[in-house]
Amino acid sequence: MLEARTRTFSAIRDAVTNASCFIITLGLTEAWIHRTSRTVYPVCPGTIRGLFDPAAHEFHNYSFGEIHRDLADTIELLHEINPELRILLTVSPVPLTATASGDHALVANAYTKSTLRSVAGQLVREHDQVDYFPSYELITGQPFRSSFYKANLREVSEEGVDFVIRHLMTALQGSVDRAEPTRVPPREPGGDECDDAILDYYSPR
Amino acid sequence: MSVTMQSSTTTAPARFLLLGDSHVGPVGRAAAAARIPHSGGPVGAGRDFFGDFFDAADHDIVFRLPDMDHCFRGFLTELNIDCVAELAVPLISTIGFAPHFVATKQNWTLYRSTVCDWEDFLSSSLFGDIVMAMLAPALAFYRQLCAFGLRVAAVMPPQRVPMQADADVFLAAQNIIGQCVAEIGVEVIDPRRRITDETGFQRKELCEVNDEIHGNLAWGRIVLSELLDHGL
Repeated sequence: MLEARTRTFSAIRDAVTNASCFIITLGLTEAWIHRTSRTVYPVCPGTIRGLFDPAAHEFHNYSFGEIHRDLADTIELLHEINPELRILLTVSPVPLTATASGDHALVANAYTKSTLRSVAGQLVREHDQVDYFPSYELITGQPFRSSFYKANLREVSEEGVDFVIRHLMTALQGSVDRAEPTRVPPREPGGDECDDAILDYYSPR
Repeated sequence: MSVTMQSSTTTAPARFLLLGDSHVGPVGRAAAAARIPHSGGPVGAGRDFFGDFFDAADHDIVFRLPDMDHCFRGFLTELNIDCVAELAVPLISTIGFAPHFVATKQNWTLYRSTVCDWEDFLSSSLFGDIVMAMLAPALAFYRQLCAFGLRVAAVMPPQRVPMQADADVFLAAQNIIGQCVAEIGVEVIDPRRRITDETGFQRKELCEVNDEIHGNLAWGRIVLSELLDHGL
């Protein structure tokens, strides 16, 4: 196990040293921690491996300040190894469907995603070599009407992934597809009278 | 929506079936006034066609809203057919052609305030993809009709932008909508040259009074003449 860990660390060090861009996708704020060693588990102990022991394992929902500090330290560490490294932050659009916070999953999801999105925005403002790509917004934004989610409304469809990747690649290439725009300015006041128009059609006043 | 069928039922064979949102109303009235036999009319408001609104059935389509489907079945009965695939006359629609709904300001405020070049954004693939994502159900509808081998025409909307809509988005979106349905094989009836003034928007005399979205009977007459020019 220790040998495997050494190999994994070496591979990560090589990757960071040679990379030009490092993409970090922020997923959720909820985590499980070992009470004594303060080791953070990738998933709740007892769900995939091991046994859950309330005396040894505690739940923690990270705050903006904690995440910001951890990520700032991570960025500093990465730049110590590779000063030229550019870092691209994204937020996962996959929502929480369960939570250990005690809140409703919808409320817990809003907290998790908004906190991570806020941290990403703050780090972009503070670091020249850190940028944000809006894959989260491209999937969850209201213009898309959740159409890029699979039927379970959690996983992103292949079409959604293609949509995001296409825009990521376009952004990296710095190109914008152009068509011929025809636009003129003014406008009029208005409201939605469609229902009245339909009723008038069938029952003229 | 609870509606009574309009007296468009005629003994002469209908020349076309109108099936759309509120914008087909003036076209139907113009056809009735001109004694041009036709069937159909509006079956829903423009916003009703931006979610999944129909299911494909065997040689037919079924609207998900019961009142909408009931209205549609009535039109087919008028035409003495059991399903839309049996339609022998052109189908004229305005479904999906509600760019004022696409252009709702709140949807675009974020982009207006953050993109470096608004003009570039409106001609970008991102903008096109957003519009097409909103339009997906309507495009599926037209694809299904064309797959039945029907002759289908779609009418560009009145050039009126209500206060809650972004005029730039309206104009850019309608071009994308027209282009998308044309690629499917739908004939696009585009009377813009005849209905706009120097501002690029609808001439006042073609606007429905006390209303900020629709064209009036005169607009319907112009559309009807364009339809006839297309041999419909």
